[in-house]
Parts: sequence; C-alpha cells; structure tokens
Amino acid sequence: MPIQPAVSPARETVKQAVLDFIDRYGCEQAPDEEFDRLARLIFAFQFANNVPYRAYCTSKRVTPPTLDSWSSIPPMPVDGFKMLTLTSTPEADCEAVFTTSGTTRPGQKGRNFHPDLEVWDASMIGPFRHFILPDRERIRIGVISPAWDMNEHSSLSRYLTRALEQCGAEGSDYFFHEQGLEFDRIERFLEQAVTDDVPVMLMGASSAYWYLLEHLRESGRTFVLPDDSRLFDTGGFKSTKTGITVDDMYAMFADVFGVDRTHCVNMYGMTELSSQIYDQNLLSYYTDGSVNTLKATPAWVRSVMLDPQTLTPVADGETGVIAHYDLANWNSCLAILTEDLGVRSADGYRLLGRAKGAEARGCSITVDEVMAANA
Amino acid sequence: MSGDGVSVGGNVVDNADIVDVFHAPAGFSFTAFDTREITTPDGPVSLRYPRLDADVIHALCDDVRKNRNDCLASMPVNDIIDVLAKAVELWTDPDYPLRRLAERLVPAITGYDADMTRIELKRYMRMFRRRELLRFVDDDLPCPQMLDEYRPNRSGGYTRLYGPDLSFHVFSSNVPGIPVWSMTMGLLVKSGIVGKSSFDEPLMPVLFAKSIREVDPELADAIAVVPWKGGTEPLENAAIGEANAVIVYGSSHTTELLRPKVAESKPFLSYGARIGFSLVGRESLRADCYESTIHHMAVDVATYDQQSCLAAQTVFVERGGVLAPHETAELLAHELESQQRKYPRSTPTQEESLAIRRMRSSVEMMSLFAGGSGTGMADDGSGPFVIASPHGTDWTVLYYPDAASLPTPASPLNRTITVVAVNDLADALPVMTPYRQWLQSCGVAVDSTRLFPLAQRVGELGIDRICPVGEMNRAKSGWHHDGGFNLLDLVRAVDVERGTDRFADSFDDDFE
Repeated sequence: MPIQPAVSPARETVKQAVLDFIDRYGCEQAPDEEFDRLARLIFAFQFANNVPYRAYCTSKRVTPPTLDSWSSIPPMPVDGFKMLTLTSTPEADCEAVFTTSGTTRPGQKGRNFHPDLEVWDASMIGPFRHFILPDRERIRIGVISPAWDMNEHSSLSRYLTRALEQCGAEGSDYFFHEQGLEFDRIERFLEQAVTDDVPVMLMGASSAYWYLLEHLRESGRTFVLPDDSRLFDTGGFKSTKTGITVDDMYAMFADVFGVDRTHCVNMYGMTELSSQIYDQNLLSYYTDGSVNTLKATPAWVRSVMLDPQTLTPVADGETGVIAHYDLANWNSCLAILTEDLGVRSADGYRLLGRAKGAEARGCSITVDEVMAANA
Repeated sequence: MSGDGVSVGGNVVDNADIVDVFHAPAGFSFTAFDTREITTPDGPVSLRYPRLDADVIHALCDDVRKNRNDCLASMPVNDIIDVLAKAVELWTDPDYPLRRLAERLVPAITGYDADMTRIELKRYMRMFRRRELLRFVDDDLPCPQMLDEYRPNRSGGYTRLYGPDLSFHVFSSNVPGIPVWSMTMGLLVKSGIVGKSSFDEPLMPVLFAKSIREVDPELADAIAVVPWKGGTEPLENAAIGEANAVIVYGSSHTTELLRPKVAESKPFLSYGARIGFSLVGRESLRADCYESTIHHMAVDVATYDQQSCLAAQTVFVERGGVLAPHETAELLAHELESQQRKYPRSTPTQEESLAIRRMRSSVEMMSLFAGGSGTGMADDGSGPFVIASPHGTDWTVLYYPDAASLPTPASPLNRTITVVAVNDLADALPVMTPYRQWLQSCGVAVDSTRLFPLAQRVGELGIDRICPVGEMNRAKSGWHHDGGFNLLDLVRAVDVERGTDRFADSFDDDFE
C-alpha cells in the first residue's frame, strides 16, 4: 500500500493559503520559495485525499516527504481527468464540476471538481483585469458563447458571465441563446457601439468568431469599431473547417471589425485548470506601446515546457510539451500534463497548439492512423 | 550547399567527404547538383544528388528504357540471376568497400544503431544469393524460362511472360535495404528500373546498383535511382507516365496519393502500413525455453525500432505456462532494456515521443481506474499496467489482462509493445478481425501440433506470413509479399494457343 502521510493539511487551511497567495502576488512574479512552499502544502493535501492521484504519484516514486521541489510534482496527464475521479473532497461535497466538451473522444469528458468556486473566482478576476483591461475598469462587453445560465458545467461559461458581471459597462449583453448566435442582435450591438463611439469587447470561443465572420461575410457588413475596442477569443482557431491560421483570422478581424492585432487577445484556458493564461499584447500596448503576443501566467501558475522524450524541462527557445502548475487547482491536481506544445522566450511563451499525431516513417502503421481510419 | 558540375553516370565519388546518392546509366549527365550534410563518427559527409525537373526524368526514363531494350530484354533469366547473385556475393565480404560505406553511412543517415544495422544488412543481403534468387523465381513461375521464350504450358499451348519495359519504384526509408528486394524483382522480369529513393535513406538502392555495375555494366545501365522529396508532382507524374508498372513502398498516405495517377491498365503494386502481432503459446514459456522465447520477442520489437511493416506491435501471451503473461511482460521489459544497452534505439521525433507518452499515460490511467498502481508490475496481472524504460521513451511494455480490454493492437512504435494475456491463443483472433486490412505478419511460438491448425485460422483472418517469434523482421526469400506474387504480379502472359503450332505445321511443304 502507498505510504500515507501522518497528517493531511486541513481543507480550509489549504484554501485560505491559496486565496492569500492570489491576493498577495496577483500577476507579479512570486518568489520561488513562496511558490514552492504553497505547492508543497497543496501537494501534501492532494496526496492524502485524492486517492487516484496518490496512486499515480506513488508509481512515480514521489511522495510529499521525498519531494525535492515543486517542479518534481508529477503532472497528471489530461487523460486522467477523463478516466479518474480526481478530487480531494468527496464528490458529493463539491459545489461544481466543470467538464470538457469532449470533442476529441466523444463520450469521455474530462472533469474538474470544485468544492466551491471561491478560489476559482478569485483566480479569474485579477488576471482578467490585469491582462484584458489594463486601461479601464469596465468596458461594454458582448458575449458570443454560451453563458453560465446555459451551461453550468462549462468553466468558459462561468468565466464569461463573471467577466460581464464584474467588468461589463452599461449596454453589455449576452448574444448566445438556445438557438445559437443571435446575429441580428450582435450587428445592432456593434452598430450601437459605432453610433455611441464607445469601445466594446466581444468575448467568446474562437469558433464563435468563425460563425460570426461567415455571417457578416454573407450579409456584407463591416464595422470600424471605436478606438480601444477589443476582440477576446479562447480555444484557438484550429480544427474549424478550413486550414485557417491565427494570422488569417486576425487579418479578417481587422477587415471586418476594424480592430488591429494589438487589440485581439487570446486566453488559454483548460477545464482541467482553475486559472487562465493570457496574451500580453493589450497589457504591453497600454504600458509601453509594444505588441507582446506571448503568453503569461499569474503568480500562482507556472507553465513548464518539457522534453517529450524525458519529461525534463527544455531550454528557452526549444519546443516542449506544456505542463502547468496551477496552485488554484487546489482540490484536483495542481500539476497537469497537457498535449499542447509551446516554446518559451524571455518575454513569455508561444502556444503551438496540440501536438499532431506521429506519422510512421515507413510502411509500419501507428495508432493515430488506425484510429483515424476506424473513426 | 549546392554546386554545379557534370557527373557522368553518377559514379561513386567516395573520397570520404562527398558521396553520390544517385545512380544513372553511363553517359547520362546531370547538369546541377545539391548536397545534404550528414554527421558520421568520422566527421561530416556530403550526400550529393542531382537537381531534377520533369524533363530530366523523361530523359532518364528514355535512357533506361533504351538500355533495357538493348540488353536486359534479351538476357536469359538465368544470366540475370547470375549477375545479381555475383553482385550480392560481393556483399558477403566484410571488407567490400561498398559494404563498408553502407555500414558507415546508413546508421548516420537513419539514426539506427550501427551494430544492429551492420548485422541486419548482412543478413538481408544474403537473402539474395543465387540459391535464394532461385526460390523467388521458381516459387512464382512453374517454368522460369517462360521469361525468355515460349514454353509449353499445361493446357497444350505455349506461354511467354513479359515484364514491364520500365517500372517506376517508390522506395521507403524505414528499413535500409528494402529497395534491393524491389529492384531484384524488377530485373528478374527484365524491367528497366527508375527508382525514387527517400532522403531519409537514399544510399542502399544506389550501392546495390553500383555493385551490379561492377559485375555487368550493361545491366546496370538499365537502372536509375534518384532521390526527391515525396509528393513532388511534376517528377512523379513524369515517371508514372513513362513507366509500365508502378511499385510503391510507404505509408498509406503515399500510396493513396499515387494510386489515382496510375492508369488502370498498368500494374500498381503497393506495400503500405501493416500491423504485426505474435502468438506466444504456453508451451514456449516452459522452464527450459522461456528465456529464449522472451529474447526472441524482444528482438521482434527492437529490430529497426518497429519501423518495418513486419514488426510485432502486439503480443498475445497464453496463460498456463510456467510464466504467467504478466511475468512474461516483466521479463520482456528487462530484455528490452538489455537490447537498449546493446542496440540503442534511434532518436524519435517529438511527435513520436509524445505519442508514446500518450499511450503510456492512457494505460496508466486505465490501471489507476482499475485500482492498480499505474506503472510497474501488477501484483497478479489482473489489471492493465505499464512498464516504462528508466530513461525517456526508450522502450515501453503495455500490459492488458484480457483481449477485450485492448483498445487497439497498433502501437506508437519505436519499441512500444503491447502484451495481452489470453486464456487460449484462439481468443486473440476475434480481436484482430477488425484490422484485416492491416494484417500481414504473425509470429508464432507454439508446438508442432498447434502450428498448422493455428496457421489455418490466422490465414483466414487475413494474415499472409507466419514465422517464428524472433524472425518477424526477417522475411525469407520467396515470401509472397503481402500475399501477392513477387514476379507474377509484374508480368503479363502471352499464350500461343493449343493447335496454333499444328496449324502452322500445316503450311510446311512436306506436312502430312
């Protein structure tokens, strides 16, 4: 049997420590010792109470007493969130469970359990203000993806609703309802912004923009939104129909909405996390006029690029598979191993998207090909 | 990186620094060349190859076809066998310069371990010695001389077999030397050969052509081998248009790209992706033989890192032996580690490593889900588990306690093997049924009473090759490659019908 630690930190202690950390460091760089100290506390809590995660860590020969640094905490592969019940609090006592859309393998949805959403909410709002609204308290927001009342198992829905509630100026609204995107109302929203000469922000999944663009192309409408307007997307432009790249998409944004690359911002989020990661271009634009589109994390999240061969960190400038250490994920697993590739430089990191399947070099056949053919 | 110049016929310029990775008929000149650098233990080497366009390919095809018509077309098949056999015999000498060159460069180009490559190449070339070539010929053809002249057939007439004037071969790079098989078959049916080699292993087909040149320069002039990037349409369209037959090795992607371009009337042979598996009976896990069985299992996985279509990707191990299947998995892991020390795996790409990681974690999650520990040995083999190499993704053993829980028999390769426990080997067969289109080799370790009944069953399943465990990567001379015929599939038969001879006799002056 795996070794049990003598005492588990109390749930409330852990949660309060996370809230304090978020409050204290915000989007500054936290000292490594402080990050490490809290990571150890959370790890000890998860190791004691999250049974499948303990088994996983034990098989990797990592336990709280033998842990040398936060970066040695075994990252749980995202597959684990699909197959296992990863929670340190009994399922029945969890106020919320967020699930993935399960597009990659239908029927198998990843789940992230939250005893309550206090930490999640605290983790959401600070970085949102910091990276998305560095120049103002509120902005007129148009949400073009399902909101919280439509899908309470979607972390994105919660995110969009919280953003609008906390930072939406007068005239903010939701434009996605049971029948889908309300194109006419969106058009009126954009017209109104132009008439009022008030900056607006559209917020939604990257794929929603694709449908919106298609609609506007058919109706032949274009807009020149007021200065400081911004377009917020999340999820990435992959896999939607054509081989459209991010740059193509942002070029179309400029043509159709009159919003430049400086004001298009991508949020990188995952159901398996309790925090979000952002492009820094809005922040840098309003700070010193530069356009830094690399990703940055708040103080309680660290993204590490790992060599897929050895799962050890790669040097800056080299591509690796991304592991996130998210201290706000205090109930499930603070460390997760994604299937996304990234490359870090001094000013942040670039997300390269999901790793493509490996292709066999010759006449052997790989899993991916078989899966694709049998799909 | 590039240089202009004229090379006649593409002679090997082996001054250790520049090596030509193309072969063309003597007198054929290319006008421009490019080079690629590789790093060998003895320092950098430039691989030189010609710059190509559709006109060059047309000219090359013309030249090869003409030389073929002048010489090869009228060469008796026995003489062709002699030439090929002498060329191959050169390779049995460890000091043969081209063999030395291959042993030096192929590992550097492919990343395969040098010792493994040396041993496998040596074994491979021996498959084409004279007595082995006779197998290829006699196995397919009731009367090989039909390739030379009209010979009596069984229906009372006469038959002559004609190979294509010119065949276009698309070589793969996964296993060094495979092009030798395809070139040999082409030459045996008296076809001129234009081969497109891969930049990932352009050398062996060229060296084989050079060896032929040493024995019979005229025959070597009916061969051209040049590398280009797969999917370069103008070149491929030109070659396909010129050829009377097209033979493609490579991924399904490659074959599906080329197949529609080939006119229906031309033979199109493709050798694509396959899933190999093996059946390990309880009798092969007796106290006196389990060690060698497990060693053989590991060899099937380690050889060329499962990049060959012949390799094992899943092993079904029968319960009831001295070793239980989960213990077999554990010992197989040890044996893979010792293979890794002897013959280190080539460095996989990031995508390949990630695919292995993904497979490992998916089985780990299944194991945790089933209440196991994820990695390492299971206590009793009742749940799935993973045994991972101590370093990186060097090798991986994935274990499933029964066939029903196996999600796929296909492996992410690069020494990733799935071990499935079964109560009876017959339990493995239903699992493999949906994969019929990819089945080919089946390794077996069973006693003689079970061999043929089992062969009968797996034959029905879609398998076309049954061989000993440990020999999966070493197909034997004469094997009906992917269930087809090596020579028959390339030729067309012309019959002089029964009675035609007598009818001709009737015009003789003194016919009775």
